[in-house]
This record gives sequence, structure tokens and C-alpha cells, in this order.
Amino acid sequence: MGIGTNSSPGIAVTGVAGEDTISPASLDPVRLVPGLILLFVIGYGGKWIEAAIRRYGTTHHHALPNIEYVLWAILIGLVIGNCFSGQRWFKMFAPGIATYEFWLKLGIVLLGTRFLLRDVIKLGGVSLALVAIEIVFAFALMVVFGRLFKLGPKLTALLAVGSSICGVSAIIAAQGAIDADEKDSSYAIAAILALGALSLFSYPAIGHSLHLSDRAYGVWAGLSVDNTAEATAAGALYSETAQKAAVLVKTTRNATIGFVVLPVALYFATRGGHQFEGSKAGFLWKNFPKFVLGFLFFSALASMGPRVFSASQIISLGNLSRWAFLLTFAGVGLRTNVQELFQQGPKPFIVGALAEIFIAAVTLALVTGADRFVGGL
Amino acid sequence: MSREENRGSDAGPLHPSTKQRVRAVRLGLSLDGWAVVAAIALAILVRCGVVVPW
Repeated sequence: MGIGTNSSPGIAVTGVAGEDTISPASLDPVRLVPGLILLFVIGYGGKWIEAAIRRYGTTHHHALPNIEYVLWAILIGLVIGNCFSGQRWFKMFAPGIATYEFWLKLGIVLLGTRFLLRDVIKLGGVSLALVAIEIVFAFALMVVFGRLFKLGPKLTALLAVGSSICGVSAIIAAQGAIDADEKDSSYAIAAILALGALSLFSYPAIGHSLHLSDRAYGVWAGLSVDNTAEATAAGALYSETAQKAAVLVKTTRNATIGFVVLPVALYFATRGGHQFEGSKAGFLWKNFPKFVLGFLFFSALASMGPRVFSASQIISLGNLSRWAFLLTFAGVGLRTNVQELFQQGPKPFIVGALAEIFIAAVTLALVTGADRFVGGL
Repeated sequence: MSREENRGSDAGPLHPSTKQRVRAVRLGLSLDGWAVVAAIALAILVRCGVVVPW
């Protein structure tokens, strides 16, 4: 599958920075324990700090700002990760920390129970239209900026799929499909991650300064923040409603990954005089994020009413989802490194940043337009 | 202009933290379907009352 060269089949044709696909069977549960405990302690620490501040304010009759546990978990993770990740002993936490993307997906699937299927179809329909516009615009913009700054075509393509669909996952999928070299994908990933880290703190501030509604802000974050973990965190930093909207819209974006990467792969195959190997339907299925189906499945179950889940069971599943996200946010903090922002090629970062600013502005206009004129989101 | 120059030859090496992040994404992709299986298992536990509502 992918461009027919000497590469092996599948999306993991070449590993970014020498990494291979990780087989679930190769995971040693014992080695996961220290990192999992660290994720839990940081996440729970965030919840404890939030509750302690609230308790202090109530007891002493002070009007203290309510800082969500999400921000505390990310900040504690940031401090620990940036202070200790270079230490040799800290490596024992790495396997467990690396599971945070799994917790993210588990959290999203369980969050499906908090949506009725008709709401998913309603908001999903609107967001699908917005996502289509966003993808076309983001892709075109990145290509223009890539040419303007004389970036290589494959690096431009990787930045384009990363910024238009779902960040690092899309870049990894596209890397194998277009047979890009490791440096190109490393540059693109570094730029997308750095921009994702910036969006974590800039989006809530912009949203509050513009007095965006929870729903509108969530749709905006889901449309324009690249990585799913950051989009979920950016939504959660605003409100729970914003997080739900951000997850739904981002999930819609993720679902389009194969449909965007396939044409890109076909383009580079034709351009290089190669044949696209394998079935196109197989390529689409392989790249389709399966957790999206899980999300829809749980939403359908919850829509069947008390026959499947009682109200209290829905609340329990929602709480389990929150715990899964808690581990995710701790992992995002631990793996966001401030030095990363300065240790990469300035050109890909500048191109990415310029395009992201335009994408954020255009999607914000789309969302506020849809909110105001199309009858609300 | 060479391809290397086009890319931005003044770029530094990939940060170890970025490598770890890529590893986490790869693990997430590998365990994509397992997240659904785990969610179904948790839902069954909640439905059967093994995980009590809280």
C-alpha cells in the first residue's frame, strides 16, 4: 500500500526518527506501571488543587478564580517533564507515559454516552460542512505558504495534512503513503507539536476575550487545533460543554484522514511515475480511526434510553471518560517540552504558524457565522 | 537551491520529547481498536453493577 517503491506495505513504511510501529503484544505491563502511576498522580493532583482552591475560597469568603483541573494537570506535567525528562532515571516512566493517547481514545469512546445520536447527527452535520471547508482552505493555504517559503513538496504536503486533519497521526499516515523521508516528517511533526502547545494557552484566552459561547468555542477548537489531545484539552480548559463540542468536531475531522491522505498519495505516485499499490478501499479502512466508530456506537447505545443504560450508569461512564482524559492531560503536559519550540527548523515553524493563524481566523469567522446566521450550532 | 536548503538547513535535531510524543501517537494508533474493546468492557462492568455508580 502506498507508493510502489522499495518500501514495505502499510502506513508504518518508515518510522519517524527511527521508530517502528508499536505492537500491542510487545507491551510489557510491568514496565507500564511507573508511568501510569505518574499520570494518575499528576491528574489527581490537578483535581486536588482545584478542589483545595475552591474550598479555601468558600471557607475564607474569597472570590478566587476557578482554575480547572485540566490546566493544573498540564502545568504540573509541564514542570515535571521539563525538569526531569533528561534524567536517566526518568526513562522508567516513559512506557507508561506513552499510553496517554490510548486513554484519550478510551475517553472519547466513553464520551459517546453523553451524546444522543440525534445531537451527533445535528452537530456532526454542521461540523462536517465546516470541516470540509476547513480542510480545503487549510490545505490550499499551506501549499501556497510552502511554495512562498520554498519548502520541499513532501514537507509541504506533510504540513498540509497535519494542519488540515489531525496533526501527528495524519503526518504519520501520510509519511508512509507518500514515501517521505524521516527528516521531512520530523520537521513537520515538530512544527505541528509546537503549534499545538501554543494553542493550549492561546485558544482559551482568545475565546474568553471574544465572549464566545461554550458551543461555538468548542466547535472552533475542534476545527482548528491540530492534535486531538490538544483540541480536547483546549476545549476542557474552557468548559465541559466546550470540550464535548471540540471532541465531536475533532472526531469528525479525524474521520476524514484516509480521504485526504489517499489523494495526496495518488498525486505523489503519479508525479514520481510510480503505481499506487494495493486496494484504495483497504487504504481508507486502514487509516480510518476506529475509535470514531466506538464513539458512534456508544452514542447509539445511550440514545436507546434506560433499556441499555440507566441515568446513573450514564453518569458513571461519563466519570470514567473524565478519568481517562485526566491521564491524557497529564501526558500532554509531560510530553510538551519548552525547548522543542526553539530546536527545530524555523522555516517549517514559520510556515505552520502563519497558516495556523489564518486557519484559526477563518474557522473562527465560519463558526461565529454559523452560530449567528445558520440558526446556532 | 538544494532540497536540504529548501527544508531549512538550520534546523536542529528532533527533540527527545518529540520522539516520545511520536511514540505515544504510534502506540495510540496501534491500540485504536483496543480502546473500543476496553470501553465496551468497562460499559459491561458498569451495566452489570460491578463498577458501582458514583
